[in-house]
Amino acid sequence: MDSSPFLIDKEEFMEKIKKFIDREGVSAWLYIAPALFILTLFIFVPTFQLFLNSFYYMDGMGTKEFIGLDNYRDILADPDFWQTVKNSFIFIFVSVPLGMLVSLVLALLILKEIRGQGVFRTIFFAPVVTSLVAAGLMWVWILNYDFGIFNQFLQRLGFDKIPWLVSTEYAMPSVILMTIWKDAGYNMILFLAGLNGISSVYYEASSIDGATKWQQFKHITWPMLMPTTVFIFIVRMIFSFRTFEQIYAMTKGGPVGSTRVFVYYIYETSFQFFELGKGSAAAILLLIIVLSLVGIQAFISRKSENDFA
Amino acid sequence: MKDNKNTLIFKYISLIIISILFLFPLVWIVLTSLKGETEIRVSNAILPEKWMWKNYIDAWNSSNFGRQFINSLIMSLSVTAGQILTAALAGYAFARLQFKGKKIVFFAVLSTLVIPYQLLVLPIYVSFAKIGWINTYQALIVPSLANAFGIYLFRQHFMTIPISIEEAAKIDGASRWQILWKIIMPISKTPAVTLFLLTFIAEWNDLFKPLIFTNDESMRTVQLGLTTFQETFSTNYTLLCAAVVFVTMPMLILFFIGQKQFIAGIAGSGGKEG
Repeated sequence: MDSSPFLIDKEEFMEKIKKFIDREGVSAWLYIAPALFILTLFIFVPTFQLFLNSFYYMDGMGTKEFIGLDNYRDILADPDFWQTVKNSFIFIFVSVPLGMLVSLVLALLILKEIRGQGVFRTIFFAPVVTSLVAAGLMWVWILNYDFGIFNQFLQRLGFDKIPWLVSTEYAMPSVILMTIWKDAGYNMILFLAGLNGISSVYYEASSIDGATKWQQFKHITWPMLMPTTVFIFIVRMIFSFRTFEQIYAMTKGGPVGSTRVFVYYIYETSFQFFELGKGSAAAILLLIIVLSLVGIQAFISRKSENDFA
Repeated sequence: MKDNKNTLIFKYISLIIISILFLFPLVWIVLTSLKGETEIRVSNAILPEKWMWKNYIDAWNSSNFGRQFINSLIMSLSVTAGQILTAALAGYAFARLQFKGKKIVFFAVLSTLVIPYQLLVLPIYVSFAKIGWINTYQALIVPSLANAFGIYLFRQHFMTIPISIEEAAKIDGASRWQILWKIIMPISKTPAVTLFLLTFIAEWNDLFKPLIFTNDESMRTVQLGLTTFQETFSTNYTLLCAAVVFVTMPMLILFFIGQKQFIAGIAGSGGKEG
């Protein structure tokens, strides 16, 4: 036996520790500790730092000087910022609904009784696993003014070539087109899950009553799919505010800022002009927009739950 | 309810046309990658005159893609392994254990999903610069070691496991830790595989983190490699297309193998309560 100088015997002590750790509350906190540590250090603390930094002048070389609301004033007086806001909202309010429409059509087409459903699903989903950089670069070549297949095709049909990525007029539509192609498969899966959740009883009953396909869609599918549609719309909107990589790969925000969206503006300000404080202030503004959207979503879903109750 | 014959024919025709449109960009890039550099500027032919497999070797050698593949692999595998571990542990606590503040903590964890991670890269960059983490693997890995989505995924799965399984083990004198690793985890391969696929592909495809946290050529990942390749050889489209293909191909293969889990994971994330 080990002659311990302590009154408690070593094994008994270890046993007590084990029992303590095995207690429900203690175990729980130990289990969530690693995740919570990382999330705190790399999400909660940085969010707070971002907020603080937005009141400082920072050049990324170590200079840090409190300047109050000057960064915000700077941004709100910056015409580039307002162009960015406009671009972002155009991007989001065109690409999200249009993309969802494409996804819904795809989901409805492969929903049932389709032989090769798996093959079609795989095809529509393949762009989702390609990186935004790779997909962006593919489209840079496809949309190339002189040699791109799109313009070759247009010419063969007797139309003029379109300056897709090199004109302020067509650059944004090009980026939106590429984004819809890339994301359609993802939303299609969400729509499929929603459509599969609608009981076939409704359709059977209505076809006995002689309802047409369109009537069924209008009176059964569309209203019953509404929660899914709202969910996808909000999530897509929140995520669309993160758009950066395809812009970086395809246009670098150009020509003349016509495709500069929110995150690109923040990136440019912070890491190309090294105005980290101003970048932080822009980031806080974006955060406020995104959180408001989340608030609206929470409000809508609570309201619709009450309506059902 | 069955579709009649005409509807079905219409559906197939639409599906085939849309499929061609969807596949077209991918196929066109593969075809371009196998053509000659002058050929793509003068010829309208769809198929290459001569299949230039050499483009792949040239593209691989014209930039340090070997190193970039290794960097991407290190980053993606470490992040994925870390996320599965932290998510399984936390997910188990949220699904099965009672503790004070559980609801608030769970809400806080989920709330992290709405914050665009690119914004947080700013303050993190400042901190990393201070502690000398710029151009290190830690910088690419550590910030992503936990993710609310994975925690949610595991929690939803654990809640479907009947509690009687655990109670039987408890009577046999097993500790919580043993129950989790010897009984629960072996029957939880589905969320683990799903999270592996989603995280690995997301990390492999990520540009923002490496773009901000590295500036040394030796630390570049494949996506950053692609953008710098484009900037250096902007007019050399056949090689660029070849590079796009070999960077993308591993993910497409991974997706084909794990398709079922991958799609189930996304469909599950859309459900209201999973």
